[in-house]
Amino acid sequence: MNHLRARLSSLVLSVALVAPLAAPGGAQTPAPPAAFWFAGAPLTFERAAPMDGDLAVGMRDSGLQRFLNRVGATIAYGAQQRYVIVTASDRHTVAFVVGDPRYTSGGSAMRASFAPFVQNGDVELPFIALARALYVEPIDIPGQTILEPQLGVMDVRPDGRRTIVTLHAATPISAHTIVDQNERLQVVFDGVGTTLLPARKIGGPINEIDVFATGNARTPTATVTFAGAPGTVHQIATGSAYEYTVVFGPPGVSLDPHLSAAAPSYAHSTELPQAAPAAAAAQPQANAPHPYPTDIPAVGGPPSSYATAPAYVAPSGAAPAGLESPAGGQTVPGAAAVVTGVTFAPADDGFSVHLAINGAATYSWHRLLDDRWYLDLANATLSDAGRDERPDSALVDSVRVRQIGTPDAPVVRIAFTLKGDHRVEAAPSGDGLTIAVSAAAEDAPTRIGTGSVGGATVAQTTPPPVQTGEPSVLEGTWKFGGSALPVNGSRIIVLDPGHGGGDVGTAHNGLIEKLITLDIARRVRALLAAQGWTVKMTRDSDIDPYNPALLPAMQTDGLPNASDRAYLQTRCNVANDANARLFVSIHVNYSPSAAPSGTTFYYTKPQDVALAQTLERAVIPAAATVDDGVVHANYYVTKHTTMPAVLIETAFISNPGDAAKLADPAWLAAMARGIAGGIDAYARTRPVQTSRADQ
Amino acid sequence: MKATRPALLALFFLVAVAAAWYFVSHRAGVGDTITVYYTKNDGTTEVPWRVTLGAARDLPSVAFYAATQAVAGPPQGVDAVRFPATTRVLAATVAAPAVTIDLSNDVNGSAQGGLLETGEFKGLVWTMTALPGITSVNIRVGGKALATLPGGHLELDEPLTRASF
Repeated sequence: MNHLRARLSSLVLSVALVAPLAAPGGAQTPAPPAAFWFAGAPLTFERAAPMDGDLAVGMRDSGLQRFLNRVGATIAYGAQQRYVIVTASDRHTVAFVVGDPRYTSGGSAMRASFAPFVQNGDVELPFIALARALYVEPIDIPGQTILEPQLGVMDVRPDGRRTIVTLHAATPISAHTIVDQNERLQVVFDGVGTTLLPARKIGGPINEIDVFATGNARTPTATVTFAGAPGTVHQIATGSAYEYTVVFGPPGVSLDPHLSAAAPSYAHSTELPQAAPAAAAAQPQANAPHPYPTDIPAVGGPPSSYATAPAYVAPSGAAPAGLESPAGGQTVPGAAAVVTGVTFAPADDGFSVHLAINGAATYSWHRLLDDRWYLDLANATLSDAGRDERPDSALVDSVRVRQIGTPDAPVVRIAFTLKGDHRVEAAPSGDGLTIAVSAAAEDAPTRIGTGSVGGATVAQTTPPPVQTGEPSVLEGTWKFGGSALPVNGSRIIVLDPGHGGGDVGTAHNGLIEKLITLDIARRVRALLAAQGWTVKMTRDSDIDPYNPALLPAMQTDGLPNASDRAYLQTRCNVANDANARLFVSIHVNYSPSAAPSGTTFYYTKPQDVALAQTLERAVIPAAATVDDGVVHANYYVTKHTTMPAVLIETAFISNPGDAAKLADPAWLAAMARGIAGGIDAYARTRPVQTSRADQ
Repeated sequence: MKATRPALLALFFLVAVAAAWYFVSHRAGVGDTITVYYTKNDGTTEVPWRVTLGAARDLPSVAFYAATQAVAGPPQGVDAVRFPATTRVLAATVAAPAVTIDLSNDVNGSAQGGLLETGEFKGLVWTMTALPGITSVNIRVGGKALATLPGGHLELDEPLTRASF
């Protein structure tokens, strides 16, 4: 049996491979153009051949291209492979295979009446099967075939206490409302028919939805009536030209479909059109996996080996004021906790450090992959100067205690360099916190944890990722032994206002990114200059900051090419040539969805991490934005600068709340204070040295 | 009894042939799938979903299929970072352990901030590197290697891996 199956498989495969080279006989002689009517106009194919109940049409046929344009679909076919894939306006794909009649539509396996084949360098496709997959139904009348666009899909999605209904049509929707009352909505869709079920009971805020076709084949219409539950209200939402979305819910609940009321359950129903009586050529073959991502749980970020920065534990109290120096040795009025003493206790079988703490604080601890371990006590200050110890211990090489963080968010960090993968445990004890190192090795040690002393509540602003253990991941905040990178003591800070000139960046809600970034950068420059830093900007006006001398190398048409390496390197070189202490690029973010908001700190190099974290700690409370975290990305300007560099996406121009902030000079000033504060706090942790650029 | 034996054998053979034909011809419906990733609207979280694979199973075809699915993204209504709607995969060329994906110029519309650009390419790279033997992805736009998209941030003229994000 197996042998027979193998032989048959070989036969089928051989036929499939040969098929592209030999077109079926029926298509050898071009037939006269078929007469079609579609979306209010005739549709003519250059060459269409009836074949086994379908119609063979070339992929490059101008008639097919017009059809696809009208339904918002794209077609893709690459050499040296066999798939021809059509992506519909609702993002479902129809995948044909050259030499095989089987195809998939939205994940469902189907069979066409003939296999696509290559003829005259073009791929001939079963057009009728394709049209149906794109919600267009052929209706034969004497002398002509009408391709009637359909109201093809109804998606009903519960979302918390509300229900979102999305109707998808084959062609751009033209709808007018007949009845618009709180609990009842009746809409007529012009130019589309429908094969959706005429009525269905829904439940929740919608009792029933009725759908029925009106009009005729040439000028079809579909009428949809939504009957809401008593007391409900609704809102019609804008979206894709091919979609009509309405949200029903009780009064007081947000009806903006872009702002989720609850985590999507995906336990919703999607109704596809009923099989048309004449649709015998393409029938589902078997139960295929549903294309919705229901069967695999979401992955919380990349695998651990790609995760990045340590979590930041937010201060639990009000931001203190009056901190003059982040270098340690000073008590900060208003800080929630003060570390009043640090006691080292080496022993034969272990080693411990006790922190005497006055007040309440939260802490997070982190184990790196190279036998380093550190604990951050948030919103806390050292009453004495920092300490460096090399204890006479078989378990611990060195211990450092430092005051880090920002004036607004001081942090006390205690860091261990261990002599192996020894167990480290932190626990509140007596008047503070005890960190105990024991000889027991940990095969699969936990790499991150949190806790509190004095009754503080743990609150994290960034989801805790797993440590990468990159040797220099914390360079810039504190260093271990001889592993630290050399410090650049230059007093020069380079600010990079994103975009400029012909490159406007993103522009929405009446705002233009290139102008906002320049505004913020100028404010940051003023603040840093007042603190004694020398500030260079990659641009100080609305220009493309490329080096004109590089223009010939960039592009031959006399215009700067914003995708050229030389163009991008100009910004980096402003910092590299000045031997700058650090580089901060300022940008504005965008999403097609109105939901995302907040500030993101992108870094590329390991030595960027500490700068990104310091900026995060300073900017988020200063600008009162959502903390979207410290994120690793392979960005050009952060990669090709030789000093610590961060690209800040300050806010989302596409989010109504963030857009209002971006339009508010007071908020721009607050953002600038946060950035300047972060830069100053980061740079102050390094001794200032004479550098080439200072001379 | 002896007379009926050849007939029974012939019947058995015919049934076996019919069963084999049915199995082979319906193999696509059995549902071999590939894993495609998309990035959630937080810009960082990758979500895998399974997509039914069509009948062509050779690696170049599967790579093209996977790339096109990643660019198409999950169905509308799913919270996802998406490539511009008209973006097409022009070619997917496999030279293991790398694959080169050539995208249409429509992708240039992605350069509107870190979330969109990073999320799009992260999903594509995760999808392609889920294929056997593929560890890195080269990006071409309209057949050309670009340092970044015009006005974009992400460096694209060097191989992208999962560690690039």
